[in-house]
Amino acid sequence: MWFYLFASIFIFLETAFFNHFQFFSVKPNLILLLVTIFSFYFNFDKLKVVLFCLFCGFLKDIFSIASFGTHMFIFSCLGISLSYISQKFLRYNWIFIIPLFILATIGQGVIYVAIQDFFFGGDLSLASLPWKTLILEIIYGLVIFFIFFKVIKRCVIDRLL
Amino acid sequence: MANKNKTILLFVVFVIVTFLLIKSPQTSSLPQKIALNLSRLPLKLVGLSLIPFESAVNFNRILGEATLLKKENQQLKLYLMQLQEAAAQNSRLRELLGFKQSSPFALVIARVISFDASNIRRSLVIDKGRNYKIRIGNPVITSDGMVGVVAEVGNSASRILLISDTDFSIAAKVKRSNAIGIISGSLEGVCKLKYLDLDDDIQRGDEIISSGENSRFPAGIPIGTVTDISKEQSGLTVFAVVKPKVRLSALEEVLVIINY
Repeated sequence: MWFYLFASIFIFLETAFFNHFQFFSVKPNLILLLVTIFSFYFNFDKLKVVLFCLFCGFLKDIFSIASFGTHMFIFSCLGISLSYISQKFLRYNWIFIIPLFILATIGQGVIYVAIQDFFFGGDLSLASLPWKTLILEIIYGLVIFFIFFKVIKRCVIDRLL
Repeated sequence: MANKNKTILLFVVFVIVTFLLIKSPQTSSLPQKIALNLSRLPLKLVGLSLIPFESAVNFNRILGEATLLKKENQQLKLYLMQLQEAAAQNSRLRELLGFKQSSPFALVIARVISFDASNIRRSLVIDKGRNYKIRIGNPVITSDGMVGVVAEVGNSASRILLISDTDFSIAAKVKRSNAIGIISGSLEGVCKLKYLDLDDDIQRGDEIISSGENSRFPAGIPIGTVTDISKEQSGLTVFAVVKPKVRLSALEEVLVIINY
C-alpha cells in the first residue's frame, strides 16, 4: 500500500514539480526508480511485482502522450526481468539497485523503440536510441536515489520485509 | 507452483490486452482524457506551490526584469498607437479597394500545469480546454514562436504535442530561400527540418518559419534557427537540425490560436 501511495505522489512530482529542476531538459524517472526498488525487494512474489508495475505503468500512461498501454507493457516486462535477475543472481544488498536501475533505464528505451517499430512502423532503430537522455536520466535518478532511498527503506521496506 | 502459473497467465493476458490497447490509440485514450480532467487541480497545486519559492530565489532578477518590462511597455504603448493608426488607414484603403477584411487570430492564454511523464516524449498540459473553445489541432505559440499543437482536449485542460516530439510534423520553410521541408521532433527532443533537396539553399543560422501549406498552422510563425546540416543516410535528401526559438522545457504560459 505504501508503495502505491509513493507512486501516486511521485507521478505528480515528476510531471508538475521536477519540471522546475530539470537537468539538461531531463527530469528524474522516479516511477522507474520505484519499480526497480520494488522488483528488487519483492522478487519472491512475481504477482505482486506485476501488479505494482501495472499500476505504475497506468499512472505513467495517463500522464503521457504515448499510446495508452505503452508504459504498462514496458514496466511489467522490466518488473518481471528485474525480479528474476535479482532473485537468481543478486543478494539482498541495496548497492545492487544501482546496476538494476541502469539496466532498467536502458531497457525502457529499448522496449519503447521496439514498440514504436512494431506498432507504428516508424524509422526508429536501436541506433536512434536517445542515449543522451537515458544517461542523464540514470545520473539524475541515482542522485535522487541516494537522497531518498534511506527514507523509503526505513519507513517502508524495513517494515514490510 | 500454482502461484507461478497464475503469474504467467496474468502476464500473458496482460500482454494481449496492452497490445490491443496500443494498437487502437483512439479507443484507448479514454483513461488519458479522464485523467486530463481530474488531474488539473492537483497538478496546478503542485506546480503553483513552487512559485513563492522561485520568486524569493530569483528576486533580484525579477526586479531587473520588471524595470525593463516597464520601459518596454511604454515603448510598446507608443508603437501600438502608431499601429492602430496604420490599421485604421489600412482598413479604409481595403474598403476603397473592395478587399474582404481578414480576421486576426483569436487567441486563448493558458498556463502550463505539467509536462509529459516520460523523458522521451514531449508534451505538456495547459489549464484551458473545451470551455474556452479549444479544439484538437489548434496551433499553440508564444510571442517568440511555435510551441506545438493541441493533441487532446478535456473540459478544463488540454494536452499539447510539442514540436520536439517524434509524432509532430508540419510543413516549414527557410525564411531566406523559401526551401520547403517537414519539421518534426526526435526521441532526443531535437527538432529537424527533413526532406530538403540536395541543392536547396540552406545554411547555419537560417531562420525556419511555418510555410502555411499545412492548414493546421498559419504561415510565417517562427520555429527556430538552423544549427547543423547533414545528409540523410539514403544520401537522397538533406536534413537540418533546428534549435527552437521557444525554450520548450521552461514554458509557463502559451497562446492557443482557436481561429485564424
